[in-house]
Amino acid sequence: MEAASIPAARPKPLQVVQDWLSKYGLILVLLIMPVYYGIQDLSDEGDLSRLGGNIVDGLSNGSIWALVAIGYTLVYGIIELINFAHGEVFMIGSFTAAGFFGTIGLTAGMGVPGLVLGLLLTLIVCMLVSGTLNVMIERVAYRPLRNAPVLAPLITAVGFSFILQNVGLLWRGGSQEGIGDLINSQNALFTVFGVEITNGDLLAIGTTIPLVILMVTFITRSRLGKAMRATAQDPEAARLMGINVDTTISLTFLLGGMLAGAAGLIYALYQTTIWYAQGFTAGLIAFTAAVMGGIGNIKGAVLGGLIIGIIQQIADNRIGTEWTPAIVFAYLVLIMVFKPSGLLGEQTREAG
Amino acid sequence: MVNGMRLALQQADNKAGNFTIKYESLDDSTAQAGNWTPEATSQNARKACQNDKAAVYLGEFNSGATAVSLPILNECGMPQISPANTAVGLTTDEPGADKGEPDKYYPTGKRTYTRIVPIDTIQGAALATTMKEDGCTKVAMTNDKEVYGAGLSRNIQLAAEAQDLNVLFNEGIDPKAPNYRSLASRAAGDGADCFVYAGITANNAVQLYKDFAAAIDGLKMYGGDGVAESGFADPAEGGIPESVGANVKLTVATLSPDDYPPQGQEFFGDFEETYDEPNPDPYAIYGYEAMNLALDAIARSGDGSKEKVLEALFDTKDRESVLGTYSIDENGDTTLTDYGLYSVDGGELKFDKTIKAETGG
Amino acid sequence: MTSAMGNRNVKIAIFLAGLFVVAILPLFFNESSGFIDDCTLALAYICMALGLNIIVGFAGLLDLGYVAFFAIGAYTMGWFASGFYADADIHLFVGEFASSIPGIHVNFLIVLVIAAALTTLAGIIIGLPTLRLRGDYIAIVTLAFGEIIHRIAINGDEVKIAEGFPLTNGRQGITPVDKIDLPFLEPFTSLNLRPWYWVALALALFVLFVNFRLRDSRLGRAWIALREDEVAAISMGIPAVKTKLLAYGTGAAFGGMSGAFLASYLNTVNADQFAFSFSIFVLAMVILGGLGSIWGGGRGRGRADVHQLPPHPRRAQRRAEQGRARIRPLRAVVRHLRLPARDHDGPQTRRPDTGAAPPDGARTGHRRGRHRARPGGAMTDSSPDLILDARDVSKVFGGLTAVGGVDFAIPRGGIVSLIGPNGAGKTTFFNMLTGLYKPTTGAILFDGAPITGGRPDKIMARGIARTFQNIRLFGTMSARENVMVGEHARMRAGLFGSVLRTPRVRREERHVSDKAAEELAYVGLAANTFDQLAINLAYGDQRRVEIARALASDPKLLLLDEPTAGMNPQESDELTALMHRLRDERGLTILLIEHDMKVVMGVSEYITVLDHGEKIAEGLPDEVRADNRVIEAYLGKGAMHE
Repeated sequence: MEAASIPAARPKPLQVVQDWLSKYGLILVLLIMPVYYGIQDLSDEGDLSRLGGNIVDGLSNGSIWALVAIGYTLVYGIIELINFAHGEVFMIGSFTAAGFFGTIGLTAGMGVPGLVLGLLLTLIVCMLVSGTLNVMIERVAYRPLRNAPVLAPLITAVGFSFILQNVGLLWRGGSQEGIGDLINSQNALFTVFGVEITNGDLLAIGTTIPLVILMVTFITRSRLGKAMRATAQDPEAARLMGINVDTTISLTFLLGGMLAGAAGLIYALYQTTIWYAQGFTAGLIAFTAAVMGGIGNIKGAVLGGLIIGIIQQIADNRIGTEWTPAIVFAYLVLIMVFKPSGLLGEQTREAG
Repeated sequence: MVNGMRLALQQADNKAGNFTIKYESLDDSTAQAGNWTPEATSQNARKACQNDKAAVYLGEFNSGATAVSLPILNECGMPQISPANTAVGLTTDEPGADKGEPDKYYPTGKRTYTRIVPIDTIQGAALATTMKEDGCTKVAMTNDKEVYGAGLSRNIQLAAEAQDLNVLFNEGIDPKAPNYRSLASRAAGDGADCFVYAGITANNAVQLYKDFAAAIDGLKMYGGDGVAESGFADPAEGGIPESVGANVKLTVATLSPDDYPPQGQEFFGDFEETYDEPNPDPYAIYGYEAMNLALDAIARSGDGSKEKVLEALFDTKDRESVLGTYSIDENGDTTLTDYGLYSVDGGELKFDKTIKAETGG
Repeated sequence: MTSAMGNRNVKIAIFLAGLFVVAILPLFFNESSGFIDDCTLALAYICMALGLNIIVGFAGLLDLGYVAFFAIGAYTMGWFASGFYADADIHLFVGEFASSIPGIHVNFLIVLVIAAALTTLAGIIIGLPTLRLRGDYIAIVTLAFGEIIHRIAINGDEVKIAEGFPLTNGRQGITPVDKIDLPFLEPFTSLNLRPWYWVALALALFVLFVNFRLRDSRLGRAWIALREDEVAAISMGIPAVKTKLLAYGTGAAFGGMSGAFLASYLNTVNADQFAFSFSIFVLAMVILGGLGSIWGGGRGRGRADVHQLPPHPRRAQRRAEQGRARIRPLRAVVRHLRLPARDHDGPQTRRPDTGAAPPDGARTGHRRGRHRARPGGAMTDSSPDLILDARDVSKVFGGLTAVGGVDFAIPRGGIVSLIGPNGAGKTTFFNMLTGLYKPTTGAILFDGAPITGGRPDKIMARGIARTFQNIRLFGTMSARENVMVGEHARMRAGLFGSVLRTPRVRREERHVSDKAAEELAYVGLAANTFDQLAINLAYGDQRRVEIARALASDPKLLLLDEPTAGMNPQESDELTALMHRLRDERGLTILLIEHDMKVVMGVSEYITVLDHGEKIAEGLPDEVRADNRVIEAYLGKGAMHE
């Protein structure tokens, strides 16, 4: 029973250990891989540049996951739904980017000003397309089921995810497609302590940070953001206070979708390969990130995304790329079973 | 490949000896998978068996699919010609085959399967020989874990080690991974100077080559016939960028058009005329020859029955074909062993030379 | 009655005729026709859909990783019936060709049993940690498990059990797989599909049979009860995790058996077959057919019907928490976006009681009530025969004291009331008695034995039964079935007994069904409504059914949570009479939470008053009525001065 592990008012010694584990156990588990391989590197090679390289790669990959994870967290926070189609919204973002490059004739050969302008334009387009798509999904697939049994919208979400995958399949075919390397993604910009920082790393991290700051500011400062929080707390009360709950929920989907669209563009530029199934994998990874950070918590989603990115890269590098997804999913299972509140989440009762 | 078959049939005026030939194309894939599925494959095989008038089964492209269709076709005694299978175990128990192979594919105990491409042992040796010649010392190997990729990579590794190349690792990749940067940086850390991928384009080969090229300056990269197609080589079709392509060499069992006998030359002319495609996929010519071999066997069979066609098929001796002169041995393998080495130039495959691989490795 | 019997016979006749047609169908087609091929595949998928139906449809566990069981079943066939482990040389009851190939070759029927066993085991391993979670978490965790198994299948060629014995053959696939070889029959071939079809049909019929048998059994009712309302179900004595595990394991076994069949039929076990999309494919069959409906899962017929899933628990919670939404300072941006998604009575509620709760911190550290007298001092001393004795019980929710240091006892055979204003902690107290909450401090003795913090189903089995403030019947079950759920803990039929329907199980079912009818009649329900769906009953009747359900377990102590809420005076009077009858005729002890003072004063022998989680008064009805503190608590301070 969940009720069995409600923290007691006066903890006994054993309980102290338990509490400590439930607080820091996850951090401990997450540290195992980097620390183990760090020590190994130190003893084998005498420096940490290999681990450093993994971490830098991980951070830049992870910042893409972070943007997608925020979408999960926002939506889950407000209507407690795992928006299964979110990964596909991200994929559509990538596809829009790739299509739009062609439309406006963006190539790597253009000068830097033209490229920057073109990319900014693409960013706006991607964010709008993905945002609108996400709002539409909510209207079509979730809103009619707002008062339905809890599993019903989850099932339509899975259904929508498959519809979008097939849209992607029809749009750009069934196999991975390389697209123009506009930013010379893997060109090493500079080297710090033996770790190369590439254009792609800079782009991914450099776009994610301002976007996250913008998002956090919007939610904490703006009137609409406050409405979102109020709705998340208690939709009925929010309604009584004159907040239009439907609009607020749509806004949440819009914001989540826009970030996914941005992530889609960064992904396309960073990886230079897109395909219709990228959204499914990315969706699961990002969801894992959101849960790891504590679902409902934006900072947690970002942190989770970055950590997952690092875990993936270390696993790719040391264990083998074919095992990486299994490792990520194993983390997902472990966290959901033992600490569903994640790193930054509140110790809620059902987390018990 | 299918176009190659069609062309052959068209040129023969749908006739083989006294028989009119009808060609029925069966697809073994689903759009979603973009790849073959066992359900569709076995259904196709049964469909062929069920049809009394079917005399030859041409296929499959993928060795894994053949492993499914072969036992079924074998049961109804249907002669099978594959234009593209290279997995060793389908016909012999040479190194690279698993224990129990190839007998487990033949429930009737009678051989019914032939192919007109040389097996992976030869391609593996060809790649290893090329790497040796190019001065490789430390080789990073990857494969896509499918029947073709895993089998070929086994053979490359055997051949490479036999020629004293240092194989750093032979890693199966996850085709769904967004990128392979960490794997590439591992190879860089180990000091790799050469890279081989055994697998097909559809398993994220483009990303793999891009990431390895970015991680190691001047890395020499190799690949098998699984990536010898425009979808891999041509950036306009989503393939690798030209800068990466410049360092890539591929082996294909197809030779340069110039190296083919006159019939082969003719084929390329005809193909271009019919399909308006000057550079057919390397396998087009194999599809063409598979059909021609089938027609020839039917014509030689006398009555067009499966039994006689099968006999005629295994009786193929010194056949002069677009691929050159070859025979079918008692295992069903071709006696051809030549591989062509291609480089990637401006998004197109360009023939370099013919490799006479040191077999037995 | 006779017309019903006739109806039943007609149904059986139609079913048999249909079955006959389905069975002879292949004879009308060529023996390797594509149509039979499709039908055979469809039948195999139907097996899986019916297996998944037990998990998703019956037990309401959204499993997005069902493909894992297909994989394990298929690999069982690959391991034990192919040339994959060529270094081994084991041949058990197999035909000539299989005998000639090195490897492990075991007869299909044996593999089928192994596959069922292995997948059940896998189901238990996956289910044990997973099934405690809430619905949408279960979906994600099973999905993750499915993907992990898929990954292990892909990479299993690198995992060596022993030299020459890799776990799987990865994306190269294990090919070929032995054909089915049944005793007294010719070995199957790839060309004659009829025997394959019949085997698939037999499997499908077997699974269908099990589905039907389970649907109308003790277990089936427990699953549906858990799906409809988990809190009510566990309060009726259904062990949640164990019962869900049974559903998960059974559903898994069918996936595994079907998987073993498909491995042989498709002649390959390839890791690429076990992708997530397959789980969704099977799930789609179940949903299109109507969740929980057997024919739906079986034939993909019927309408999409997801309304049988449990209601969104959060709505009720939201309403319950209305009026005291504390917007806390948000440290993280949307940290508190999530509210616990459980209903008012449920254990997951952050703060279970409705109404005017004190502000944060007001009650913390203030756990002990000032009134520490035992209930009616004299009563405690003179009648040591207490059926329930709770001492210093308190419950703290994240710094908020819902119940603080309450002593409470009930004499055997008494009718006792717990009253207090909204938010006084009454229901929280109830939930501690029944095990839904674990008390933060204190001890509870029932019938002389400690039950503090015990599991609800165990406490129920000891003899405490309850009803709920807001009626919590299992809506898709008839009144009779609802009451039969109440007898769950008293029944013994297990999985196999239910499927085989042994004479003992039949007797038990008949007995329980009769007893349910008796109880329904006892609480005053009209006989013609016994087999109506519970949700279609009148409000007062629903209350009655709930009481009958609680009575069905033969409790010693009956907890009634505001039983007269929403009743008209006449119904209330009837209920009061019923309580007296229960005590007098059955010797039951009754604890009542009630707002209707007329009922309370009319029925109670002893009254305890809670306010803000503390006991503020207790005594005989007249004493309590006159107590100033009680009046103050109910009417506010000002009332005293009027």
